[in-house]
Parts: sequence; structure tokens; C-alpha cells
Amino acid sequence: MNGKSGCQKVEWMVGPLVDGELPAAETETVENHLRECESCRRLADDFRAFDRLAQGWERPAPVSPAEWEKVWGKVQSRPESVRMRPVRRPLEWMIPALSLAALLILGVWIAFQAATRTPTPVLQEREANKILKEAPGSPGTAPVGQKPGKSS
Amino acid sequence: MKRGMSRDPSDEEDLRKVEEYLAGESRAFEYLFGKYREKVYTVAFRFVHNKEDALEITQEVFLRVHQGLGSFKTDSKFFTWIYRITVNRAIDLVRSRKSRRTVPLEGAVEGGRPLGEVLPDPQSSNPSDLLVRKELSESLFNAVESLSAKHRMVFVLHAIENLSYKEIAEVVGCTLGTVMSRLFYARRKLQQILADAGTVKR
Repeated sequence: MNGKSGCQKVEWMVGPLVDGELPAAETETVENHLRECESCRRLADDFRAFDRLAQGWERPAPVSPAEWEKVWGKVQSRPESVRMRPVRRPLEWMIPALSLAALLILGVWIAFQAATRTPTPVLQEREANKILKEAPGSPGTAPVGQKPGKSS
Repeated sequence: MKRGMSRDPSDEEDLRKVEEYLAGESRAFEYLFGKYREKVYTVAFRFVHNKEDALEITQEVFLRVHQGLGSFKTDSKFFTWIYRITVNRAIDLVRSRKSRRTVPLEGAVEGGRPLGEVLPDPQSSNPSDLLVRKELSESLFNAVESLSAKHRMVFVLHAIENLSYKEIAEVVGCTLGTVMSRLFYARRKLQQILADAGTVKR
């Protein structure tokens, strides 16, 4: 890829090559071209030279702590204009609220259980056996659910 | 060294401080000011070349940052955001004072030779090499001054601030292709300006 048309295809990639930003797929192509083309090689040299020179430009004048204080003071002195997001402190109100809710649910559940309570079959059986046992003329020994005269 | 594009602990810390500030912790903003004031000042100085203007820009940048924190998107990098504000403000100031700009190209260095050949070894402490280097540096400085704002911005962010192409694209708000194109044009233009001034051979 030599000649003027070759240069036109490659020269825009010289900068990225010098900067280490050229994809590997194109790097070899551009490097091969540079080996054979003095004009593009000079372009690469100039680009590197610009960066080296620019890196050596004077450092900005130092700023004293007092000057920074002044800048900070001016930044701070402006009216509060930042849009603050609501403070997110969920535990502060959630703990008592959740405790109260839990107590209420527990109270309602206990009251409901007490109101709708029905004896269990086992209890019914025990109660019946007790009544039969105490009743005059009862077979006495045969519990409910068992035929009289058939002992276990 | 160029910064990587993935978030590093420093970026995470910035975002944490932004969140803290928005949650009411006022000292978090002081932390961000302390961390970025020098960087903002340095970038601003690269564009305006004097301390007073650079400090004024620094102050304005932090005011804008303060005002904009509520709408700052935490999926972006804080440093990219503050860079963008700084560069835009600096460019605005440069544009407003454009008429004051002068571009003297001394051409004190022996002209007609490629820059790569004229530029002395950076390690050399030879007085004549130092002088040549200083003159070339000043010539380039003046040439950069005469670039348009958008080309100058990309060149400064690349050559001085050492940002990667991707970071420049984020700061400037353009595509990678645009960064490449602007940087190429800026460098070509610098070559042309220096050659026209007789400083170097094109």
C-alpha cells in the first residue's frame, strides 16, 4: 500500500498508532507502510514530537492554601441550590412501626382463635368417656368407639 | 498513564461521596472539592494561561457541580463529568476573549527541517538543546493557541491531560471517530502552522 493513495488510506491511522489506540488488526498494515514511506514516517515523528513538547509546557502557577480557602468560601457562600434527595433512614421509623403492626396482628389472631375455638376430637372423646363412666348403669369400662364387652 | 475505562476504587469513592452529599452529609462535597480542585485548575489553566482566569473557572465549575449534583447520573464517572464542565467553561472563556489572542511565531529555531530531527533528546541538559527545546515548545504553544476551540480541546485533553480516546469522547460528548478525526486535523494543522512559520519542514 504505497504511493499517494496508500498514504491517504493510512495517514489517519498514524495518530492512533503513535498513541497506542490502533486496533491490532490495522497496526501491522500501518507499520509496514511506515517502513517504506518517508512522508508518513515523518508524520508519525512529528505527532510524537508534538506530544513530547506539549508535556513540557509550563506548569500552572501554584495556588496557595489561602487562595484555595477563598475559592472554597465563594463556592460555599452561594445559596443552596442543589436538589437534595430525600434522606433515606428507613430504620428510624420502620422499627417502631413494624413492632406496632406485629403486636396488632398478634392481638387480632389471639382474639380470633379464642372466639372460634372448637374442641378437638380427642377432647370430645375424653369428655364423652368421662360422662359415660360417671353415668348410673353405664357399662363403665367400654370407652367410646369400642364395643361393650370387648376388652382390649 | 491513561486511566482505564472500568470504574476504579477512586470512581466508586466519588460516587459514594455524591450519594452522601445528597443524603445530607455536607462534608462530602468538601472532599470532592479537595480532590478535584487542582485538576480543574490545571485543565482550566491549559486553556486560559493565567492564574486569575483559571481560578475563576475553578470556582464556577464547583458551583455548577454543586448545582448539578442532584441530577448527576451515578452510572457515569464523576471525573468525566467535572472535566466536561471545566473544558466547556474554559472554551467559553477563550471564545469570549478571542480578540485578545495573538499568535507570534518567532521561528527562532533553524527552520526547514522535520520537527523530529530538530527536537533535541528530552534527556539532554546541553544549554543549546534546552534553548532549542524551549523555543520549539513556545512555537507549538502559540500554534495550539491558534487552533479552533474544538480541535484545541481534543489536543489538550490528549497531549497534556493524557486521556484515552474513549475518555476524550466521554468528556467532549462525541464519538470515537470524531475524536480521531479532530485530533488528526489538529496535528496536521499544527504541522502546517509551524511549517508556514519556517519552524519546521512540513
